[in-house]
Amino acid sequence: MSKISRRQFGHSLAAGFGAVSASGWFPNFAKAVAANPERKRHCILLWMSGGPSQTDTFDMKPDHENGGEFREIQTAVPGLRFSEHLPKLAAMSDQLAVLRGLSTKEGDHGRGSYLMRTGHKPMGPIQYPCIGSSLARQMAEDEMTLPSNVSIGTYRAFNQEAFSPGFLGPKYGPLFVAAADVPGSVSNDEDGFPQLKVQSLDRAAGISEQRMEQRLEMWRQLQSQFVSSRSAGAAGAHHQVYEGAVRLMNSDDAKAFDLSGEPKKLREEYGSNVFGQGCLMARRLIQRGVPFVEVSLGTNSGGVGWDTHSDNFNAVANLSKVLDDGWGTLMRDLKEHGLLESTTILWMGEFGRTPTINPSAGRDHFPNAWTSVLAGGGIAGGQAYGRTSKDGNAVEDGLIAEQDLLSTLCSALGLGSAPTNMAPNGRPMPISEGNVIKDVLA
Amino acid sequence: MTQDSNAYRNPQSASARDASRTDHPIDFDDLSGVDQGDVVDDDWTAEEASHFAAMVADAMDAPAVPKSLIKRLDRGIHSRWGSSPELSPSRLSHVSEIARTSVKTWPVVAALAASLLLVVFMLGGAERYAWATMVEAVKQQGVIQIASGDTVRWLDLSKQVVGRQTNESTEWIDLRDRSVSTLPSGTPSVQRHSLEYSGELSTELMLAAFLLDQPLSDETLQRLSGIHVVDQEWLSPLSDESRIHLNVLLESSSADRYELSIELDAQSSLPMSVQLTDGGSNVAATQDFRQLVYLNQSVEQLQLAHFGPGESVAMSDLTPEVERVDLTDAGSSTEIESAMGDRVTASTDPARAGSNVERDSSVESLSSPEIVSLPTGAANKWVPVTVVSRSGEEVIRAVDLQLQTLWEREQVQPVAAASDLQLLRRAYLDLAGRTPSVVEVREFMKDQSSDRYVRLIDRLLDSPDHASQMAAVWRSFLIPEGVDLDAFGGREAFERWLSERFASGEPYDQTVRKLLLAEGRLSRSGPLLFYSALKLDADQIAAKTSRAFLGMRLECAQCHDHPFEPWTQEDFWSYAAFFAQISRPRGELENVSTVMQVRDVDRGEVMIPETEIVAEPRFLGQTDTENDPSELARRAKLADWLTGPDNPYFARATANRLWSHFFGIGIVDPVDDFGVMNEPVSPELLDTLASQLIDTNFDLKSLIRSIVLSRAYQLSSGASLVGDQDEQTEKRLKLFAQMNVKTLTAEQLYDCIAVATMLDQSEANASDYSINRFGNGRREEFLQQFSAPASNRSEYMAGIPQALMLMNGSLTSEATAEQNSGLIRSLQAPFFTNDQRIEIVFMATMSRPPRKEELALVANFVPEDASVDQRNAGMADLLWALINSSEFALNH
Repeated sequence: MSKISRRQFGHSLAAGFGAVSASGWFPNFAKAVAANPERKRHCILLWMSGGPSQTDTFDMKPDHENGGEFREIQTAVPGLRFSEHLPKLAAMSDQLAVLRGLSTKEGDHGRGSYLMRTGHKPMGPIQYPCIGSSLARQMAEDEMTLPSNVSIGTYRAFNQEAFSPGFLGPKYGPLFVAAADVPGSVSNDEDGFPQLKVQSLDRAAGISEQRMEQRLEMWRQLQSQFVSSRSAGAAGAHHQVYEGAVRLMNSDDAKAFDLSGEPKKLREEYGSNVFGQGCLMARRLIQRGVPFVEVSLGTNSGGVGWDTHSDNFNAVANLSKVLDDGWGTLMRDLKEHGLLESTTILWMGEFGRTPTINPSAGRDHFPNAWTSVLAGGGIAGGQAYGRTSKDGNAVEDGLIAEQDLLSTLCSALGLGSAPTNMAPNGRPMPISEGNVIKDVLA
Repeated sequence: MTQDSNAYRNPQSASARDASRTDHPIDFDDLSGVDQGDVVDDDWTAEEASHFAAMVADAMDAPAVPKSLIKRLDRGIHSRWGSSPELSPSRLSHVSEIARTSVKTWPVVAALAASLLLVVFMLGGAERYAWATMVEAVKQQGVIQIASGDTVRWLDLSKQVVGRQTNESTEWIDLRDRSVSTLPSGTPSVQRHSLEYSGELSTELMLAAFLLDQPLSDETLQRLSGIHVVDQEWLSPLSDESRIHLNVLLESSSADRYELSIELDAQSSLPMSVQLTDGGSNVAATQDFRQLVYLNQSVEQLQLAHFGPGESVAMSDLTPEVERVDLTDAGSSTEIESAMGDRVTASTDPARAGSNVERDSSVESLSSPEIVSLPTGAANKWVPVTVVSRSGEEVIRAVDLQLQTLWEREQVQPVAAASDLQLLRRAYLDLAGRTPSVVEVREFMKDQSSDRYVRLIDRLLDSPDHASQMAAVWRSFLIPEGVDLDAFGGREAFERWLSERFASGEPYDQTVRKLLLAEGRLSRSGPLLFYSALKLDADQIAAKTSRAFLGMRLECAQCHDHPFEPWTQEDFWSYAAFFAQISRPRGELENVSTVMQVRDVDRGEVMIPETEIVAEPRFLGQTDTENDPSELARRAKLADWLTGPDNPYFARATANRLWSHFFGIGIVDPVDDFGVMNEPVSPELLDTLASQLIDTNFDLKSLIRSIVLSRAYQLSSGASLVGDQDEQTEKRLKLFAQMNVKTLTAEQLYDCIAVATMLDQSEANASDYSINRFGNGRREEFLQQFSAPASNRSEYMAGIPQALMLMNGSLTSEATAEQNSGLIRSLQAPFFTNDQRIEIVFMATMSRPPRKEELALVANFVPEDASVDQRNAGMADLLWALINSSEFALNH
């Protein structure tokens, strides 16, 4: 997409409206980010929709009948072992802190998603924001062209509310890219890679660039009188949001969503699937300063995803390959761009799966003892924190719950253990109030 | 004192009492005729006589004794002693004769005295009256006024402000900082000084000085310092049970004594009139009772009205603004009493009231008599709304006046009124949920009559779009977004049900009852969707209903006592207990199913979490468990309480919600957070609205009409006051002195686009147009993407994704593209000039014709000599630009 007199647009707005001028700041800002990676932290959530099996990934039980078909492999860190299907991650295990003592109380997809993604049980009238919105609210910078919260490959059918900005309002809601429930969000490009689309970022069909420019010009002129007399409240906010949308359409930043310029080899390493390409997009977004990006893997890819009630091992082997390619490459790529230090990655689903294998060679929902992984910036990698019993059915050491996990994440992001957002009633609402697992913080 | 009184007196004060005083109310006149011969009176010494008199007096020192009890006593004494003094009240007369008569009948009387003591004991729970309860009652009130001669005095005990106006000057004393401000008549300058008196300023002292008619000078304070009650007695005149006579003997530190005779209102314990019967050597006793008047205005309002800077106020200016308890109109006060049942009332028996008081007939109050107990402070102590019967027009005037005084008090200058066309659009959006069609705009503009706005409101209130709009508003807080109800008919089915209720004009309390008492299988949808959405969970229903109908976030007390408000965890669960006996599988339900049904059963309890305590049903703000012995199901009892006119929360919460719908913010805001942390901007205003709601039998339309015809609603949303500061704007918005710009809900936005572009209907230009809000798939899809929490409408909540969708999305393309937009195609008729076309696009979107400069601006883009295609494209671009404009996306 090319520019639609962005400079002129921004100038005239600033004149009529007194807002921050959009023109001219971006290159400097980008330079500042590149020069000082500590200046700003980022978070990537790798959301494993359906509930991944801990026993077949990061908490193997090879000596127990619950252990299943997969073999363990040694990782870069002596004593820390992963599944054989996660070789790239094994090689980067010095960056990973595996939390094996997670124990929660929701075993339903919808409720579990809400619990893990907001930190709260789905009850009562408060619509809690999902963690992406909460963190975006904390970490967003006002002058961002790109949205502060991007969600790639999202599958919301288990529970819409688990993906909503809740009381923070749509402003902090995710910008959905290649959402599994929005038709036409994914198509294949000429190289066979899935093309991930931002809804409505492109001009409507049949509207030429020149005509769009004309429309915006007319819009701007017609706006000025109304907005100038009501700049304080909703009118000012409305205008600013539009300004932001127009800026995004026209900006170089929008190229973050266009993966066609990336080397084909790198794209292949990430994996020719929505998750892999989503991880690549995540790196591009982080590079441009987006504070929170989420990439989904699991039910969004069709089929049952991680919800492996039957035929667990074939499914998990396939998913592990996608996961390992996408995540492993992402870690390496971030590191090469000098961004891994400032980017904290959280890997989790809504719950784990039973260590016991059911008669259909499947594993069922299991919130009692499961695993999540923290990686990257602020995290003391190369360790497993917590331990489950030999059969994997109980947490024996390092028990943590959803609030502890989120508090630890907030700490790793440098936000303190309980950063608060304002609820609409003006009361401060902590994002989480759990215990910070100091052992896994760098 | 009066002839027909029965008895009274406070035991604690016996010692200080002069037994021989002449106004003893009980007369045993007839005792002289009883057993006269049997009683030895010859050797009755004077000492014994006075001792006995004191004893009798002690025995009488009790609350009012009901007639029936006296009769029973009478019978008891008769059977025991063979004869009775026959205490029938009609025989009672002056007490002066007690000693004389009782001398002859002393054993009988002694027995009687003992019996009465017993009665006193037994009646321990009966109402008592005392100085202290009166002081408490006064503290709950706002401003009291006493006028005598040329002097008017005011007291606000809670705010500790005293005022006094004479022919010479007006004086206000703020006792908190002990500052005195005096405005001599005829001069513009206020003189200020501080009180020198440094002693304690007790409530007693302030009230005493006020009632004793003493100017609050250093001298008075010094003299009255340390004043306290040394004796008191009360009596209830038989002829008027609503009145209590309280006699109080006060003594200051310097041992000066003052005796006051006060008439109290029996229900509220508020003083109605006062007489200084003995002022000792310091103060002359007053000859008559002085009437106390309770004002509707706050002390600040009074001060502003009569003490504005640089403003001299003559007495004659004062009176019209004073609202007073009108004690003369027998008809109205009885009406009010019967209308209010046992609610707090100041109505009094006119025959008894202040017979010695000259009333100023020029005092005409806008509102009817009321002693208001306003919704401030801890919500668990709120009392029911004092209902004042006002016509719709009177409510509007009262609202305007209350806001006017609020603005004056807060020193806020309201902005100019909105133009009629702005009001047209605003009223359509708020009342009908959409903008007017071009035809509707034109018709309004054609109508040049002065009451076109009023008639517009009345027409809109009766339109089908109003019912469905209200249904959408109600649905948004009764069933929030994000709950999957498709299996039960979806949110839409609920909205449809609500819409039918609103369209039928059913009283709102009835609708809420139907909702609370819904029965049957969940598959029958309608009101049952409310239960489906809450999964039939007692705690969820409790949380939702208390928010939606009572304006309280009770659920904050679910796991522990409420952190800010007085609600305890027990309060929450005792309230939830009303929903415990609904048929429902045990345990936590993931999902409810359509075959489940809601009906009342006779089992089921809720327990306070992590305890073994079963919560008994108890209404909010009450201390006793619900103990109605009837067979009614718990839900039914709750519905009776919740929707009743005596409920202290229901009408206020509903009025506040409606107000907030029209102003973008509530009088209490957030609307569902009543309590000490969140006081109403104007409690008077809130109660005026709540009163109308109750008075009209919960007719929402009447209340809505009052709100939209108020001056505040018709103010502009734009501010162009010179030198305006942001804080000033903020203050104006908060105090309704400027209309808030409200964001459109997703529903409104879709409907506006649909109306403007003639998206869904080709008939959009008919004058009886109404929108179809149900069964529209495209609308549903749009709503899903735009849905925002229902909370704050004065904040624009949407983000970049939504803006992108409106700029580039398929809905906008379809609605604006020249090939398929109904509006653009309708503009192709060759007889239109370009200006006319532009005008139509403006009226369709902005509900107004374009301004001259706008016309010129657009003409630059679409020249008159453009080809048909260019022209169509230009009109489409204009439509696109306007639909994406702030003016279109907001309600202003």
